[in-house]
Amino acid sequence: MYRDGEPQAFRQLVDLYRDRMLQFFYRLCWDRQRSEDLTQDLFLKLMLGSKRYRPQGRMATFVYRVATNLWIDHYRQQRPRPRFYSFDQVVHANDDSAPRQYAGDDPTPDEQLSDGEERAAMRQALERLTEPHRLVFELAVYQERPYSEISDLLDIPIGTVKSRMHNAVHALKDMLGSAEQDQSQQRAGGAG
Amino acid sequence: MSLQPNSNQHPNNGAADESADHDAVAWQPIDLLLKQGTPDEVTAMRNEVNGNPRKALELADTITLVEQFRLLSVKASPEFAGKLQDVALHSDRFYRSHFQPQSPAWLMPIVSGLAAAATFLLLWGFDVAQVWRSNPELTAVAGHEIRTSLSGMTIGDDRQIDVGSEAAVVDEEPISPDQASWERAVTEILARLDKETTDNLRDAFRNGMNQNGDALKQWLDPSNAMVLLRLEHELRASADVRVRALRSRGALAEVDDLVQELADGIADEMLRVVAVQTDPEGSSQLHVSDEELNNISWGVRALIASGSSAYRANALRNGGEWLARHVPQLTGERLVIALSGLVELAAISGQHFEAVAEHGQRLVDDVLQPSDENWRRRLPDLLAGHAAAGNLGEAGRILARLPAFGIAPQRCKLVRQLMLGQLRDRRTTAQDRPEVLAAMLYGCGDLLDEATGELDRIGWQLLRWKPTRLAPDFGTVQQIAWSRAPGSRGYTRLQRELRQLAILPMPDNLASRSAFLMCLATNFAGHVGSLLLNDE
Repeated sequence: MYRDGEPQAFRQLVDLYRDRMLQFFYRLCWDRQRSEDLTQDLFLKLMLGSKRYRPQGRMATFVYRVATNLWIDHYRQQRPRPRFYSFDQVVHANDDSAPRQYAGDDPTPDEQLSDGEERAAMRQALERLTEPHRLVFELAVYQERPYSEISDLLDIPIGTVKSRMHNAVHALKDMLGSAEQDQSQQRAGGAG
Repeated sequence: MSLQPNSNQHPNNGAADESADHDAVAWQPIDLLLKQGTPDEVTAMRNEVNGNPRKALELADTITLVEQFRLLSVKASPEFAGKLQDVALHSDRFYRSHFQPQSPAWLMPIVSGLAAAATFLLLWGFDVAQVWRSNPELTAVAGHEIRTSLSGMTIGDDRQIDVGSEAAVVDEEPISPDQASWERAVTEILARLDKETTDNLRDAFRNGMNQNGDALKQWLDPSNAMVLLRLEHELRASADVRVRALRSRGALAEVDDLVQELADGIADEMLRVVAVQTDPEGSSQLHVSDEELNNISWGVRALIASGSSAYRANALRNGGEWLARHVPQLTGERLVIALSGLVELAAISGQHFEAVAEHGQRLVDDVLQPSDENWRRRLPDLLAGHAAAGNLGEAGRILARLPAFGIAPQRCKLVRQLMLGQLRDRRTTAQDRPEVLAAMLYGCGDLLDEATGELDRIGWQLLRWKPTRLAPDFGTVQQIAWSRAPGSRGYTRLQRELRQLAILPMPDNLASRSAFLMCLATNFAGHVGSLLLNDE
């Protein structure tokens, strides 16, 4: 529509996706400033790519494809050193190393205050998931994309999407379960 | 898709992870929750869950997990709207240079020729100034018709043209990021309201958007109310003033003794609660329970209502500091409870003014700023059906005072309108409960429709419930008592009934006892401005 004489169509697209995309990038990088910049980059890329866009598939798929590619490029650029893990690894072996790769990633005192213990545990659990699993979890749970579309976006078989999703959920359950246990033990210890 | 549970799905079992074959991966509860698969597959999954309690438990577990994770989100920074506005402007330019249909090649020389001829004619003999002289009230700049009221002005012609030019410049002013973000918010809120809520909420929002009112009055009224609160608090320090106020409205002077005794007890208990909440090293616990929050906030308000006293000053100060310390982590109704104490404390002493301004703004934004949760997934917490009516009433009262703390009065009023819409919803769904009516009158009395008799009807309906019968819900009694101003219909009758409260047994709970005190103190603390009038 934007190409076909409706300049307002792009603004509508921005309105429609701005918050979804902000949350998408935020939950991948946990840095508000960076996620806002990535969202801005995404819309610029969409605008520049609008000349090449062929209306064959759904608009949403196109937006998510650009967003996913943007994140993957960004992730590769930001990685300070090569990190090797197999695709079947669900969580990082050392949880400290994974989330610390971004500058400005540490939560501010305000964020620490607003993040309750539970939220902090959830965030930590998500951060510990490896990139491929986190991306699938984000696209399926938060962005509510069908597995077939995720398979298409990430260029992986649908069975892989499913198994990554299942393993991510199992891993999150395990991590949250152990985090709860730790907290209750700490409380019991504190009371004692 | 196979419907057999797969035992190889443990996260550490790498062999199962990269299965390329779709059918080789058995379904899991998360697939059903996300409705992944064809309708037949989803039905098959659902049937299997129905017949297998273990699967049902797993599904429930997964739902809880996903719901928890969906709460993780971030609020955009104020600069974000500006960044997107830049993108939008960029897109307009991009559109013009890449997609806008170009004029035919032969058109440009013709247009240029006509423009040149027109310029020549104008320069040759056309007196431009004559246009201004012949019709001073109408100027045309850049194709815009701008009317300027010059009839009463004594300035010269040159100045008149300047006025027109300025108006034209103002007309071209780009919208700010805040305006752009607000317009988007309004569009989203309206879309949601049109889609699924009742007429009350939608009408409330539309009315709120259409009513601008007197801008100066909207700032001044709350500021004046703040000044009156402070003056009356100073007056209330005198026992004579309190007793005179009680007697003038037909209450017993002895009620003041009971109020002061209660206030001393509340102060002692508040100091104990605040001390428990602070560990020996001085750092406060972050988590605060609803009970503690209610106790301290109601306690602060009760101490203010009872009149200042040196004995209780320490408790009041510590209570205020406790609320200010915890308010940043509170949202929704809990934020309202904390602010109810802080606003009054800020009004009478100026303490925690910045905290009220900051978190009052947050209260407004929590309702009016759409996010992934608010408006897109569900209504904001304060407009949801589960919000306690009493807290909505209190929120209405707070929002009426927030403009005195520098918060935009139109937005405060809009939130109050929405809350009133929510309370009206409850009335229409056969929840004509006293707490709902009391909240409407107490928090939004000035917004009730007098023309249709809504204000009167609610007033009369409230008279059906005697305060003694509403006990121990002293929160509702306090809202009824404090919203019925002297001279209003039913005021005398309510006074007669309030007198009977003094013989009721004392509530155990600190918050209820504080509300009880406020009911007893209605005559000298409940109606802003009446104490000054009485004293004169």
